[in-house]
Amino acid sequence: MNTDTSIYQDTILDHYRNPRNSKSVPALKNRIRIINPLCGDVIEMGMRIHAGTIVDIGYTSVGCAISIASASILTTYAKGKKVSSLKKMQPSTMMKLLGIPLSPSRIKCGLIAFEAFQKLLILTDTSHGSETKKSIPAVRTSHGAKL
Amino acid sequence: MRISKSDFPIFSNQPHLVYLDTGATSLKPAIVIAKEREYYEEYSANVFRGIYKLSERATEEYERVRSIVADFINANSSTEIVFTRNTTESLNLIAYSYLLPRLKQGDEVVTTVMEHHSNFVPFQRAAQERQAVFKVIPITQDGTLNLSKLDSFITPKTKLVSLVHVSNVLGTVNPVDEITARIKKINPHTVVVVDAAQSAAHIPIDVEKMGCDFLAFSSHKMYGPTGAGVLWGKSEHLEKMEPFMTGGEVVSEVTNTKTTYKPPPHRFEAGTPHIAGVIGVGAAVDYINTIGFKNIIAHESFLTMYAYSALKKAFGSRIRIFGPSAKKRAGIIAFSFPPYHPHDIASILDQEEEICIRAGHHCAMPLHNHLGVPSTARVSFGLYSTKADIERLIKGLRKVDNILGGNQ
Repeated sequence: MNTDTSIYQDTILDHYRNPRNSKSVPALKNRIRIINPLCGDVIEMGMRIHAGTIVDIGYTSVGCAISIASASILTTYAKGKKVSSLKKMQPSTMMKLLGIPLSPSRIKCGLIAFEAFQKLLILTDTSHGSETKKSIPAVRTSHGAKL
Repeated sequence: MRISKSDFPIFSNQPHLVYLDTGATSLKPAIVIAKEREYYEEYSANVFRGIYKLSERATEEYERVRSIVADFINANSSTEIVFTRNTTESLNLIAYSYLLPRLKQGDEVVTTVMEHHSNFVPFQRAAQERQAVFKVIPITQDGTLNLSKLDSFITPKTKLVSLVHVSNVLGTVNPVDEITARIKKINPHTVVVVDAAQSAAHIPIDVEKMGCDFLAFSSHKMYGPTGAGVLWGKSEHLEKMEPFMTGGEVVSEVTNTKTTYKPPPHRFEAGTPHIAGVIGVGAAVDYINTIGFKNIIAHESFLTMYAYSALKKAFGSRIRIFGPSAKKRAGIIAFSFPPYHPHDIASILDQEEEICIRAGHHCAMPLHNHLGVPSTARVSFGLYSTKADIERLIKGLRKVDNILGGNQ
C-alpha cells in the first residue's frame, strides 16, 4: 500500500524495477566506483561528455531499492544537461528529485548515486570542451553525505 | 509468574508494535521503570559519601544490586562485580587494565570471527599496540566455532582469549565451559573472557562452572535500563589490576605527589555512576528470576523453532538463514531474502506492519565478510515476543515480496 508517508512510491518502484541508464560502464570513458561498507551498496558510474554536455551516462549498481532508484532518477535528470550547471547541484535537489520522505537512516541510500556523480564531475576535465579519458579506482564513501 | 506482554508499558502506548529487535535492546517492564523512578522521586542522592539518610539509602540500594548480580551469575563475591556503562566498556576495561600492561611483543591474543566489534576491536588494538599476534578462530559452515583448530590456536604465548557466549548474528550458543576447559588444559595461564551480552537474559550464567576469568554483559539487553553494564572478574585478577579511569571514588588517598587506590570493585568505578540505572538492574534481575530461566528458555526456543520453520515454509530456499539449525540456536535469526536489500526489508516491515527488525552488519563486519554478504536482516526475541509477532513478520515479508518484487 502506497501512502504519502511511504518511501516506496510508484515512481521509486518504477525506477527500481526498470532502472534507466543501467548499463555496463567500461564503455564510458570517465568512470568512478563507490562502495558504502556499512550496507554494501556499490555503484559504478560513468559518463561521456561532448562540448560540455553529458551525452551519455550510465551505471551498474548493487544495493537497496532507494539507491538503485536514485541512480536511475539522477542519470535521467543529468543526461543532456551541461556539466557547468550540474556542478552546482546540491544534495537538496537530489532529495527533491526523489520526492520521498527519507528518514535519517535512509538518507545515505538516497544520496549514494549523487555522491558518485559529484565525484565523477570533479574528476572530469572539460576545460578544453572535449572528452578526457579518466578511470578511477573504487572510492569508499564516508558514513553519510552532508545535506 | 507468567510471561506477559502487559508487563511492558510500551505496548499500551504502541498497541500494534511488533518488536523483534531485542538483540539491539530489550523493552522494559513496568517494575524496572518504577524502581528507577522511585530512586529519582524518593532518594535521589549521590552514593558513598553522603552522611545523610537519603545518601545512605541510595548507597544501600546500589550495593544491594551488586550482591543481586553476583548471585545471578554465581560469582564468589560481590566484590567481583564492577558496574560499567555497558558490555563495550567492560571489555575495554579488560583490554586497558588487564591486557595492555601484561602484553609483550610476540605474545598472542585470540578471538573469533563471529564476534561483535566490542569483543574484537579492543583486543585487536591492544595486540597492535604491543606488536602481539592477533588470531581469529574461524567458524564452520553451520556457524559454529571451528574447534578442531583450537589446539593450534592456543600456544604457550597465548595471553588472552575472548569469545562470545551467544552470537548476535548467528544465534550460535558457544559451549564456553568446554572451550574454556580445553584452553586452560593447553595453557593454564591463558585468561578467558566471555561476552555474555546476548546470553544474560536468555541462558543462566554460572561463572564458576564456566571457568572463565572475566565476563561482561549489558543491563539494557536484559530488561534493565540503558547506561549500565557489568564486568565480572576473578578477584585474583581484579586485585592486581590498575584502575581504568581515575578521579573520584576510585582513590584511597591523594596527595600532591602520589595517589593510592581502593580495592576492587570500587577501584574500577570512577566518578558518579548511573545510580538509577544500576538500581534498575536489580529490578530487572528480580524480574528474570521471578519468571525463571526454565520458562524463559521454553518460551524462546518455541518461538525460535516456530519462526525458523515459518520462514522456511513461507519462502523456502528464497530465504537464507545464517547459523545453526533452529534447535541449536538462541532466539536470534539473521537472514537474507534476495534480491531484497535488508534496508528495504526493514523499512517496509516498519512502514506496513510496525515491525522492528535490524538491518546491516550488526557490528560484526569480520563475520559478514566471512559470510560473503555485506548486510543481513535480523529478528531477535524477548519475553514479550509472541507467535502472533512471527505471523505478522511473515505477512510483512510477503508485502516486501509484493511491493518490491511484484509477487503476490
